[in-house]
Amino acid sequence: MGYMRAMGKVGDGSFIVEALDLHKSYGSVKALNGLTLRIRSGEIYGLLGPNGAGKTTTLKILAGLLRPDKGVARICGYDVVGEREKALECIGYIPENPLVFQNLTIEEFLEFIGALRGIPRGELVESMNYYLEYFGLHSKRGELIASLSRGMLQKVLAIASFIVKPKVLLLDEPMAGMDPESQRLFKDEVRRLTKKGATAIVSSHLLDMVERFCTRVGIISNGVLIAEGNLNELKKKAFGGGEASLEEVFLKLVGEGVEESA
Amino acid sequence: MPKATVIALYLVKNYVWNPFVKKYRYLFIGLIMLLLVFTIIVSFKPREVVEESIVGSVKNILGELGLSLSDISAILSLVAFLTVYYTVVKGGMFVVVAEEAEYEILLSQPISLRSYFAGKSLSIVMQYTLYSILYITVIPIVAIFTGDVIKAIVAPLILGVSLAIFPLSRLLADVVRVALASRKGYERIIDLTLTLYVLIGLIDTVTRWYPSPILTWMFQPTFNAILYCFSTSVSILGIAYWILWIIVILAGLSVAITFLGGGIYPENIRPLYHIAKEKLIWSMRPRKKIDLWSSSPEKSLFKYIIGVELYNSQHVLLSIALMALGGVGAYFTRILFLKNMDVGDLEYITMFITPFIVSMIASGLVNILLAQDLAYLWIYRVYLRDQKPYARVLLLKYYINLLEAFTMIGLINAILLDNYILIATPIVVLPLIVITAPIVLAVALRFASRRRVVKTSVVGLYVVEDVVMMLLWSLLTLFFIADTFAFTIISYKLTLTSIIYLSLISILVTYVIHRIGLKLLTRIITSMDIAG
Repeated sequence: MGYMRAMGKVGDGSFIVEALDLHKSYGSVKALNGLTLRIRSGEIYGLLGPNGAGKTTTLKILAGLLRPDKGVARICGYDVVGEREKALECIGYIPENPLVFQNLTIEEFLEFIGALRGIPRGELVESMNYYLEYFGLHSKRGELIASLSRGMLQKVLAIASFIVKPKVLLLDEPMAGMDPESQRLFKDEVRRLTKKGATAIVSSHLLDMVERFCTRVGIISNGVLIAEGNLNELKKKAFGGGEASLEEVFLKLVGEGVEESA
Repeated sequence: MPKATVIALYLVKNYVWNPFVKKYRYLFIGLIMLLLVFTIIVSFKPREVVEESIVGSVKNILGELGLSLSDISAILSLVAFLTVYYTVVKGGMFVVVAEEAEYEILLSQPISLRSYFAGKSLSIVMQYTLYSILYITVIPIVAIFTGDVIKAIVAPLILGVSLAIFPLSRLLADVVRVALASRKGYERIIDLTLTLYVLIGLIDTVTRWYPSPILTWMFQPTFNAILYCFSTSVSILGIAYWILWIIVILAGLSVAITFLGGGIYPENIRPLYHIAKEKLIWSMRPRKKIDLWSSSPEKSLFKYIIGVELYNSQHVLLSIALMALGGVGAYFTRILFLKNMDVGDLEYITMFITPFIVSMIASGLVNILLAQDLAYLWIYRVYLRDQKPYARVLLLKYYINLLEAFTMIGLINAILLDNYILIATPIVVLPLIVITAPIVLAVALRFASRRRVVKTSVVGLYVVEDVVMMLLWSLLTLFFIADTFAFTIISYKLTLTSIIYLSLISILVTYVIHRIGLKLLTRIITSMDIAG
C-alpha cells in the first residue's frame, strides 16, 4: 500500500487512466519494471520508447489482455483485473499486429463487434455508415477482411474502435500502413473525440507525428517511465530548455535512461 | 561451409531445434530413461506369455484377413505413390513452404535456388531424424511385439529417418509441377506421361491382383522398415538393408529436387499462409451477406462461431461425405473381407482401430480449428463484456466436432458388427465428449498463452503446440477406445428400454460435467494472458 499512498490521487477520479507500479515478466525477461502512468480525460498521450521498452505490454495490460504480475491498472476508475467488464466497456483498442476474422466482410465484422458490445442496431448502422463513408470504405464494405491491405485493415480496426463510443482509445501503432489522407482523417477524428472528453493513448515510433499530434508524452525505457510532459517540459528535462525536436529529446533521454539502468 | 548446409542448419534451428529439442531435452531424456527401464522389464517376460496376449491377437487377425506385413507394406506404398501422383497432377503452381520467414528473408538473400533446395532437402531429412524423439513411445511397443531390446531402442530412429521420405516426395512433386509444368505445353506432357505410368502400374496391379512394384518401389522400403520393427521374423540387420535403400531414395529425391529446383523463380515459392489466404478469398467470393448482429451477444456469437465457422457449406459437405464414405466403406469391408472372420476378432478391430483412426482425423481437424480460435481471441477479450457466452459457444463447437467423430465411430462399428445398437454410441459417450472439449481447449489456451501463438499462428499450431496436442490426443484416444470398448461389450445385453435409460443417465451426467467445464474454461479465457 506504500506506493499507493505516495501517489496521492489514486482512485480519486481525476485520472481516467491509471497504471500504478506495473510489473510484468515473460519468463526471465522483465517487460515492465514498476511503470506508473496517470492520464487525464481529453488528453492525447504519446507513449514512446525504444523497441522492447514495454509500450505494447502496457497497452495490453490496459486492454485487459495481460495480467500484471504486480501493480494496478485502472480505466475510468475500474480495475482492469478486478472489474474487468466495467473497465473494458470504456475502451476501443487497435493492436499492433492484428489478426482479424479473415472470412468476414468489413461490414459483417463491424456488425459483429457492435453486437458483442451490445450496441442497438439502429445506432450501430448509423455510426458504421458514418465511419465507412468518412474513411472512404463505403464501396468496400462487402469485401473480405482477408483481401485488405495493411492500411485498409488499420482503417477497419479504427472504425471498430470508434463505433463502440470509447472513453479511452488504446492505439498501438494505429496508422501503420495508412496513406497520408487516411492518417489525417484518423488524427482529426481522435482529436474530435478527445475534445468531447475521450482520452487516447498512442504508442508509436513516428516521433514527428507524436510531436504534432499528442498533447503529452511519456517516454518508457526498460519498463519504467523515464520522462513525462509536454514538449517544452521534456526539452527542459533533456537540455535545460532551448530549441530541440522531440527526436533529439527522445534520443537524449533514452540514452541517459540506458546509461542509468546500466 | 557450403551455403546449402548453412540453410539446412538455419531451418532446422528455426523449426525444430530451438523451439522444441533444446527446450525440452531434459524431459525427453527422462522419458527415454523411463521407457528403457520398462522395455528391459518387458523383454524379460517369457515369449509364450507375450505371444498369447496382444501379439497373438494381431497375428490372428492378419492371418484371418490373409495378409502378411509385406502385403500391408505393398498396399500402403501403392496408396502413398498415388497420393504423390495426385499432388503432381492436381497441385498448384507453387512450392509450399511453412513460414513467411523462409519466403521473405531467406529467398531475398544472395543464394542460388539450387543451394536453397539442396539446403531445404537436407533440412527435411535432419528435421525428421530429430523428430525421432517424438516416437520414443514405440520403444516399449516394439519390445512387447519382438522381445528385442536393441530393435526397440533403435525403432524411433528408424521411424524418424523412414518418414522423411513423405515430405521430401511431396516437395519433389511440387518442384516437378512448378519447374516443368509451368513451361508452356509441358504441363500436359507431364500429366500425360505420369498418368500413363500410373495406368501401366494399375493394369499390372489388377493383372497380378497385388500392388505392382512399378508403383510401390518408392515407398516400400519405408513401410518395410517401419512394419518390420514390429516383427520377430525380420532381424535388425534385415531392417538395416531397407534403411540403406531409404537413404539411397532420399539422396535420389534430394538430387532431383536440387536439380529441378534451380529452374524455379522465388515468386513460385509461397508460404502456406499466403496460399490459404488466396484460396479463401477466391472461395468466398461472391456470397450473400451474413447478418451477425443480434440484440444478445451470445446469439451473435452463435451465429458466427457455429453458423459461419463450423456449419459452413464446406463442413457440412465434408461431414456428409465422410459419413457416407465411412458407412459404404464399412459395408463393403464387411461383405468382401470380413464375412469369414471370427466375431471376437472383428470386435477387436472395431473396438480399437475404428476409434483410433477416427480420433486421429478428429484431432487434426480440431487442431486447425484451435489455431483459428486462438488467433482471434483478442477480439472477444476486448469487445465482449462477459466471456461466459463465448466459452459456452466455443465448447458447443468442439462438442459438435467430437460428436460427429463418435457418430462416425458408431456408424462404422454398427455396420461392421451388424449390431445397430452401436449407432447410439455418441449419446452414450456424451460425458466423455464434454470432458474432452474443455481439456483440449484449456491445454491449448495454456500453451498459446505462454508461447504467444495467439498472435503468430494463423494456419496451424507450431511445433511445441503440435507436440503437446499430439500427446494429449494420444491420451484422449485411449479414452475413446476404452469407451467404445465398454459400450460394444455391453451393447449385446442391452434392450431398447435400457438404451433409453442409459442415454438419460448419460445426458444428466453430461449436463453436470458441462457446467463444471464451462466454469473452468470461462475462468481461463477471462484471465489468461494473450501475449504478443
